[in-house]
Amino acid sequence: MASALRTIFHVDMDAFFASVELRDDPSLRGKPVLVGGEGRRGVVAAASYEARRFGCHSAQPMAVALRRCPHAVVLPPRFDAYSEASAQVFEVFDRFSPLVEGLSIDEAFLDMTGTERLLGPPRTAAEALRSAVRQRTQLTCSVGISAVKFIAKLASAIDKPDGLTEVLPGTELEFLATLPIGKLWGVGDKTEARLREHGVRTVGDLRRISADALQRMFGEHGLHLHALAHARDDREVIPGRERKQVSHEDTYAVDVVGEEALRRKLLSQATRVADRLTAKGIGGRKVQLKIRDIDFRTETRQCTLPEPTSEARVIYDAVCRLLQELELAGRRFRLTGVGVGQLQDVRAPRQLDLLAAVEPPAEARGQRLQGVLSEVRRKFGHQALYPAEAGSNEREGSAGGFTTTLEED
Amino acid sequence: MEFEIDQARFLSALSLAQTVADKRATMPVLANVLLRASADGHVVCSTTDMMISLTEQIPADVRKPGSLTVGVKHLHGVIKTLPGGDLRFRGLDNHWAEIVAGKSQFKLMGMPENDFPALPDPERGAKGQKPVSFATITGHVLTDLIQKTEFSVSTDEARVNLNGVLLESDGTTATMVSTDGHRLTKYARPLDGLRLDKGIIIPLKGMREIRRVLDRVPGEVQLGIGDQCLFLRAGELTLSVRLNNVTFPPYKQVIPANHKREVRVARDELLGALRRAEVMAPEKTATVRVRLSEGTLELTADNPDLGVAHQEISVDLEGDGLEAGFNARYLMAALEVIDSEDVRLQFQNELDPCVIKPGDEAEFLAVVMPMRI
Repeated sequence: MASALRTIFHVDMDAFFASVELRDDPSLRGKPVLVGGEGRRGVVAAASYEARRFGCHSAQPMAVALRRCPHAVVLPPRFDAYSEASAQVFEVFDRFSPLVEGLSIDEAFLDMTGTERLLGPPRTAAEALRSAVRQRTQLTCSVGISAVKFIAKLASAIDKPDGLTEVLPGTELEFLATLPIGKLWGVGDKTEARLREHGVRTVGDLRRISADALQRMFGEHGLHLHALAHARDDREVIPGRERKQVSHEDTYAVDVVGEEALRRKLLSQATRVADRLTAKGIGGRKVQLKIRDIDFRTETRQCTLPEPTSEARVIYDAVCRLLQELELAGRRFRLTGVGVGQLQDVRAPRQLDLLAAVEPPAEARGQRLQGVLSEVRRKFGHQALYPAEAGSNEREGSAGGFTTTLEED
Repeated sequence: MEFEIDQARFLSALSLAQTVADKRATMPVLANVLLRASADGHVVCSTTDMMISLTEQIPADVRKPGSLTVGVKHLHGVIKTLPGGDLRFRGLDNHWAEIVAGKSQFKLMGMPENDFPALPDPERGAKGQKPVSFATITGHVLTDLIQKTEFSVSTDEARVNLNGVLLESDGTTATMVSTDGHRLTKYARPLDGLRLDKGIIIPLKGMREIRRVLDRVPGEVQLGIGDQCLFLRAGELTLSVRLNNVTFPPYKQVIPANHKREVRVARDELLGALRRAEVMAPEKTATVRVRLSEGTLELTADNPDLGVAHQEISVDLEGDGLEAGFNARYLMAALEVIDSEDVRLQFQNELDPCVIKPGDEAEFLAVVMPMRI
């Protein structure tokens, strides 16, 4: 624990995508709803609480979810609607604390230290926050309160949905004692299995193992586990949201065979990634390609560009170069993905390239063109304008899509 | 194998050898030094990382010829701590090495010579090529060329053709050019004897190794350029550096031929101001704003997270005023290698490259691309 006692909120929206769908279409209320790709290989992006009762959850293959809950309503994701709701939610967060650390589209840490005189004791402030979110978006969220960052996150999950859990200072160890170790940050399947071999099932059990023993078992990571088990976590709430990568992945219902077909998919994905980068005014230097064949063999390749880019063509060209490094013959692919990392603000002061004239990297003109293309797609949907090579059937991916067309404007 | 050797002489060979060896290589033998004792009273020490190879011949009292490889880091560590005078080195069974000096005895685990890769040989070029011919040159000229250009070599692995310095030489003048895509440095010096048909690209690690060898052996040295390697013979040392087989960008096209504005300023004053500004400048980009007006150069570092630094320097300005952004570190690095009292900064417009030259007519120039601010 930090020397001065802090108050940290972890706010997590309840079944976010599904809740947005239920809000926008009241006829769905009370029905199990799954958001995600419909195809044979689609993946569940969100499940409503009604669907969860049948054993459905996010990241589950859609086929499995539908076996558990055959009468579920399956909806394609509407990312625009979710982004809009997310922006509103974060606006509310910003009203409550200047220190907001976004973890994803629908969850954040808020450092509430020192807000007592303004907003009252933590529990009162949390109730006010929850009602402000509900008023602004008609969506519910759950809040965890603790002086320790990772405990706040664990606490928000205790009383979901629409819940509030406060772990009072001094009661952290008690709170952790009965928690299954799998719930701890950084304990994955492998770590959990190894700990189970030593009879460790709960965080309480973990606390009985010495730091030395944990270090012998897991190295540096072991010391981290030891600290967590003793409720020690000095990580602060870091405002902003540091994006590491912007990527787009699709799982296909129909196998992708042959280099040409792969390229078409990758071009479409590079275009989507470029649009998202452009919308945020950022570019990246690291380009990553990911493919997975029907035997679940996953391969990734990455390269670094001389200049950060947000241009589809530059990203696509890099991806094609990476594709050359992979053995494609005789393989059928079920997933492809394109990602761009090492992100930076393209509007910040930027070092100009001396060799641009003799070794042209990303042209400034290309960057401007990308701006226009991305803006058209943002307004009219990603099918409004796309590279011809990507093909019009580019919507097969599990991410689905929305179909705003030019006529609707 | 068994020989007696002078500790200081052995140590100096190993100190150089260990800078070449690759301690993190996937081939463990590359972390080793190959020691070959021959009946004519020499021990030859060799190390390589496959790109750079170094051999040195040291006189020794060879009792029994033979060869062995041992980890250079630990051998160097052992020899460094021994007292001066002779020490005895002996190969034991299973490639163990024994070192005895006075009452100290060490045993180090080694590997057989067979595992050690063959090194490039200037006498026998690649398949049927004729031996490499050597030119005798003045070592310190080469050192000076390297010192003044190595700082702007690109370390970005995505730009392979910029990962080394370009060396051009017509038999009377040698020129070195390096660029990382943001700035470029070019330096020429009279150098007799070396005639190259086309420029060669010497990788950064190779440049550093050449400098180390030249620091050890002053005076005249032999330089030979083979098909794939550069060879440097200095005293008892032979260094080979594999050349980057890529094309250097047509650098002459990016050096501005003329300018609209020129500033003359005292080097130390500008360098001092830049150092102070850099403290305040944004850490990552080191952005500073340079504003030129009649008789004054203003330097501003504005960091939203920290504060502002503003400085003024008296200068002679020819031409109109200008305001442009620069990476302070790029300007500093160029000024640091200039020896003259005054420097000249030449500009066109705010988004065009700036050329930095010494006040005298020395054949040095640095081109620095501005930042868009």
